[in-house]
Amino acid sequence: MNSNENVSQPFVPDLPDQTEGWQQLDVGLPGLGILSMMTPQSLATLSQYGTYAPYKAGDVIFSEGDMQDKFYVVVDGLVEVYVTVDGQKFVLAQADAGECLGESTLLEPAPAVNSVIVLQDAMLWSMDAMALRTYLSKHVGGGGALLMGMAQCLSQRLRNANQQIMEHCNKPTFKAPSAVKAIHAPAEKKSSGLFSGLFGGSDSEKLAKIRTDIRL
Amino acid sequence: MSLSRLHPGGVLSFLDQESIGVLDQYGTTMPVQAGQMLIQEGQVQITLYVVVAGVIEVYRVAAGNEVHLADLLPGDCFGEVSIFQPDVASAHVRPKEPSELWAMTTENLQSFLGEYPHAGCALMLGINMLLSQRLARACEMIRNNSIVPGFLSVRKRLRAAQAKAATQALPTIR
Repeated sequence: MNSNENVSQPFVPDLPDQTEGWQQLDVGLPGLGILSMMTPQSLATLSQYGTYAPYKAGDVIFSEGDMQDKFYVVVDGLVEVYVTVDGQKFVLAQADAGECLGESTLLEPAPAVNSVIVLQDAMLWSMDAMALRTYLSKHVGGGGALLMGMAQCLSQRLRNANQQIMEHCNKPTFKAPSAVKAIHAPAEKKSSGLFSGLFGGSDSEKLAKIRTDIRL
Repeated sequence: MSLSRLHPGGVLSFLDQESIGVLDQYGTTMPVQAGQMLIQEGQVQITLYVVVAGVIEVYRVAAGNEVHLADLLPGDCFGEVSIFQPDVASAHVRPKEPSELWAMTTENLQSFLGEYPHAGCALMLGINMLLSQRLARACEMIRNNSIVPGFLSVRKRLRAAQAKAATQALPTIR
């Protein structure tokens, strides 16, 4: 990587040969899925807060139990999400361009609850919590749209997870008390302090009544 | 402006007191009586609630029996999933004792996010954090209870069950 590279361009590591498949694609975040509420300008800005990385078919992006604090967006290619239950592999989903991975552990770093493997050569963009914090503090409009997309994604996945649990509840073997932990989140718990103070202070500018494009 | 009664924790963790005061004006505070049905399973629900005082019970009816899911305390919220993914409620919600709630409609949330983007981002961050915590706990429960992922088709589930049964049957054959 040469040192006089234009810093405004997205960082693409290990770009070996422009004649090979994915490398010929225009690098850019897709305005799909979790990013669908962001404007092209916001996407271009956001992309600079993360890194792009190519993966070959068969590469494991992360495995169950790995400490996971990154958020991934599939830019191109196809990946498979699976879990292993009693030694048996269960495919949960296949994710292609615009799908995201790790959106829950970005804010709550924790071991991954599933594994992700690449099915077709793919390019993924990823960002960590620190980069998200910086992005939110500097680009509140795009940050709001990103958080909104993330909330919709998390809500959908939580609804699906709750549905599975409720199906399980209807079985005679269900033990009700364990359900309490899933729904109750202590009011005082703030998890990691990384985002503490991000929007704090009494700066009147932060409460200025202005219009943005954040949409539900 | 009078001080807000909204608890500065939970989903409001990232908002300062001044922002909470502004947010307060986008919702309404209401007293509720013990046993009063706030949300019924199966009904469309598009309001975000924050518990101001008291105890709110979340429960579900399974096989004719009430299954207690959670007690929500001041600072806790409910309805956040339906705000972003409008759908029918998946559980019943009622106060266990005389309580006070703060409620915000989708339209008012939209207005707040649009008019106060910094504070809106802070609120969204708190909501996302809560959703992440609840999703992590749900995934943990799914894992601990060996719940076969619901994404699988019935055919795949059947095949998996047959394969497991065949494996378990092997020792008796031998």
